[in-house]
Amino acid sequence: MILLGKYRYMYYPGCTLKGWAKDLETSTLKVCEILGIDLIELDRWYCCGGVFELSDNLMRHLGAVRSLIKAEEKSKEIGTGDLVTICSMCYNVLGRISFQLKKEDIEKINFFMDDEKDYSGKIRVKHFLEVLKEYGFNKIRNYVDEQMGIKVAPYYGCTLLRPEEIGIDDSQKPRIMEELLEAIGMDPVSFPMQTVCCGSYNSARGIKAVETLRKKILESAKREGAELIVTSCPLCKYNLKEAMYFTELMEMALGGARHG
Amino acid sequence: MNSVKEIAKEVKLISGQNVFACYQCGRCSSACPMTEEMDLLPNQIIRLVQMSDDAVLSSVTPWICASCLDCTIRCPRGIDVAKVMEAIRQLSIRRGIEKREELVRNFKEMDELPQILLVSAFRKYTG
Amino acid sequence: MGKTVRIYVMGREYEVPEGLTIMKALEYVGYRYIRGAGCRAGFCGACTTVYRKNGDYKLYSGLACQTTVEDGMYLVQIPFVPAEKPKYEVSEIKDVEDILRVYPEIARCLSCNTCTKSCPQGLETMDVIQSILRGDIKRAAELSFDCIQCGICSMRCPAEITHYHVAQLVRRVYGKHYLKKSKELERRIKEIEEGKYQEEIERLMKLPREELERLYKEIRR
Ligand code: SF4
Ligand code: SF4
Ligand code: FES
Repeated sequence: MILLGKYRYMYYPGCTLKGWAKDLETSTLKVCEILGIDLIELDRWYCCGGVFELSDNLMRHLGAVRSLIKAEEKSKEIGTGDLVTICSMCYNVLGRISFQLKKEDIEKINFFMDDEKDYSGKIRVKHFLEVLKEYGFNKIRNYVDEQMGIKVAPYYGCTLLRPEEIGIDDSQKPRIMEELLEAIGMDPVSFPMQTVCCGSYNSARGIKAVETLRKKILESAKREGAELIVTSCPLCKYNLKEAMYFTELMEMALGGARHG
Repeated sequence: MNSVKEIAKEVKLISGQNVFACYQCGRCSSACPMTEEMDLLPNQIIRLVQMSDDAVLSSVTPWICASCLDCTIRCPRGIDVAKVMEAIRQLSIRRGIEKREELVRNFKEMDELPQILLVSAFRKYTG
Repeated sequence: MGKTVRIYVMGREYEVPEGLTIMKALEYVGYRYIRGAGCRAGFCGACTTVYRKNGDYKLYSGLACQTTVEDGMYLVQIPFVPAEKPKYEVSEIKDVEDILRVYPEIARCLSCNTCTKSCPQGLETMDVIQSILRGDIKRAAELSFDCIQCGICSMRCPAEITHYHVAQLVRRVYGKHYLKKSKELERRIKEIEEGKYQEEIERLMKLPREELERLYKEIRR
């Protein structure tokens, strides 16, 4: 058993955080270091698939289930069944597998994967925002020595909130990012388009509607006086073009440079 | 006529959704952020599936749907509309109607895309 | 004749002595290899074979020159695996983003592990692809180091990935951009370019065949 602090979690980074969205990972790890949260990366993990498969094609759940099996192995070693993701899309896929996939589907997948132990469904998938809430926004306040008061608009998009069974907050009036922003000395501004989809993977084909959405979302935030938009999803960041990861802002507010 | 009938059945098999619960209130379509480029609105798609109309297989709507579930959480009849869209995509891929090469060839500069974008797009557009 | 086993080659039954490799067994029953065989020692990857066994649903694969025949084996040789081989310039490829430009289809991997299960070299082929996807070039290059390019994985992958070409690109990229440059190699190349061995080579070029053979044997000894 590795000796770890009070706040310890297994950690599933996802491919994008190791590639295109490295900043999301580095800033998160920095924040964790400051707050004393241990994120322990799984020894092995696989691509979640990006989008949760909505059809009867169970093959497309394999990567996610396989990662959860690795998490079950790891959980014995570190004594927690909590698996944390930071990327909203990974959260959505892994979360839906662990909370929503039908028992008979899990059985079929276990039967197919004769090269792995069976997945028994013991893993609790959490988004990093939930981890911070558990830790206590009030406690986080202690690490902030300057009230920056920047008007920040949190953009949730789809995958943190929908479907409701795995949403980390109210699907139409979420507050969790606002509460966090307030705790780190920002001036959070909610805006009407904050839960509307950014167009998702359709930007691969340069669909017009994605550009329209981008404009609408940005305008909606600006109309509420926002100076900055934050998100936890690399794909939202790519589509919006003008967003920052909430963890980057946290790193700034918690004086990442000073502490490290 | 027979093959026409099958669409409703196959969509049910693939998605597990009962499209016959729909009473055409249109809440899905008013919530959908992608309608700008759709040739049929989500509620119209559901109606056509009820009637097993082949038109759903040639509509661009399922290929514009972003699986954002805004429709799903709003349907008062509990239909997971996004699942129905997925079923139609799958059905046209499985029947060999959708030419995935065209969709994939239109991808933008691959080396600028975040991995999740490429991974997701491949999953949605190819069989 | 000692003990024999029954095998089925493309559906036809043959009786062959126990203990032969698939390759020897095929020759024993009268096949002559004009393709699908090379080194006969498990290195070249030319002799891909797929087979099933009586009463077993699993589809096995292996190298004909390395796999011993078993009773009730149904087999066929796959002398060639078709694969698209895009042109690229290694010096322009460094990260996962660049590799995705050349082989975007690796983003289709389902983590089904079929490739790993089919690899006769026992490589963790799925992890090679997954490592690339997350930009871990080093791990992908190391995990795929023993690939002999038989292509079995690529025949079976539901995502239609050509692992052996992708992995070769990754090893090239790793060698080009990530591995420490070897000083010894650079020094030797410089010596060659400066003509240090020119005289010796010219002398050898002029030697008669018998003399060369004698020298070769001497070196081998
Ligand atoms: S990785 Fe593929 S090509 Fe390479 S040895 Fe294994 S099966 Fe053959
Ligand atoms: S066979 Fe193909 S899809 Fe399956 S794990 Fe290997 S690379 Fe991925
Ligand atoms: S002939 Fe070369 S590996 Fe079998």
